[in-house]
Amino acid sequence: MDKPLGADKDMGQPGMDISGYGGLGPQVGNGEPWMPEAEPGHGVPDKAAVEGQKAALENIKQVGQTAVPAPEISRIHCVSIVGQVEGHILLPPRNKTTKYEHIIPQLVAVEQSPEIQGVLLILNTVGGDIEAGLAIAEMIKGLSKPSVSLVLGGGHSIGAPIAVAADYSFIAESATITVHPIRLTGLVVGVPQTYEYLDKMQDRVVRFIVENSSIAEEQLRELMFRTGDLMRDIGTVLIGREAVRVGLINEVGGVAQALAKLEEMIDARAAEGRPDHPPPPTVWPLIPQQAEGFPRHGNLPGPGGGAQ
Amino acid sequence: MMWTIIPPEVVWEGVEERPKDLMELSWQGVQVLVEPMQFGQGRIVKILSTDPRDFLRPELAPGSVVDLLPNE
Repeated sequence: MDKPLGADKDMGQPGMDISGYGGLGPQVGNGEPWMPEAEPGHGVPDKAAVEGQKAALENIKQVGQTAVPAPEISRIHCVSIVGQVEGHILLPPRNKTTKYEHIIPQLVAVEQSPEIQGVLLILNTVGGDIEAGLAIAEMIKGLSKPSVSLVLGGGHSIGAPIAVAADYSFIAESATITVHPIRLTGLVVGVPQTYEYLDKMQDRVVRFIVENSSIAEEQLRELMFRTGDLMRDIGTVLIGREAVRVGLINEVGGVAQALAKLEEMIDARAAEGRPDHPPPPTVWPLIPQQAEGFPRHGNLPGPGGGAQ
Repeated sequence: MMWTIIPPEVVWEGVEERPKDLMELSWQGVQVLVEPMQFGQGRIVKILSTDPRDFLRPELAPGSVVDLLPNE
């Protein structure tokens, strides 16, 4: 923008009320103090709006997340994977954690909801529990609705499988993914089987990443076990386009590209005419309540109910 | 099994502290696990309900503060 503020030709036209607009700071042209947009004649901002803002602020403060978009507003559900992916042990309160016991049912709700049509996954994680991370990754992979991931900051360790689990993945130019081997810490039983167990855990992760991205297994293992890249440790740090070059991530981009891609995928899916509710496996007979809305418990057919 | 770039001694710092007392209760018909706070408020620890829709409610997200006492 090389134009000075207010140079827009629509601004300041006769009869146009610009008070409260234009981002001119505390004072606007007419000398009145700037006030938040208020109902005409009231002088007090809309109570519901203030409550909503307060709730959103509280949410950011408490869980580091903005409110989940209400289904009637957005057809996209945003899931953020932050801090440590918490596993079966509650981590000490100093850790910021992503709780799988909350994310997993949330993704179930996303799959079932007729309003939500796509998932945007935002990652800024340092890794965490392998089983919990793989559980989240498998849930995202298993969604019938389109999903796009965006790595911002970092998507380290178990963050990598979560990032590639989405149908399409983005990474910010400055974001990094640390690819390094898993390890056992603490008291370890020193038997050969311990090594085999560790190797199996490693294989699970490597296989998931290879199956869900275009990186070759040999290259992933080479990056993982490379020495000399990380100071006194094994592994590689991939920054932005390096992660794209090795085939781990699809594209370098930001939130605009990620959202555009997701919208495009949602529209393509709608054009294909795929139902938002794929018919359930034939275990339960399809009954009208299940087909149309969101099934509540108790909607499942009772004894003798429903036609086979 | 943890796989993270944060050193284990940092991750596990303070793990031996006494866990907080939690309460299981029904808040507006939704079964939740709550950490009681002052002034009749509580912080949601997790949702115990089995209705997936409850997990989409931002006011029930872990960490949000709810009033535990009836309003009127």
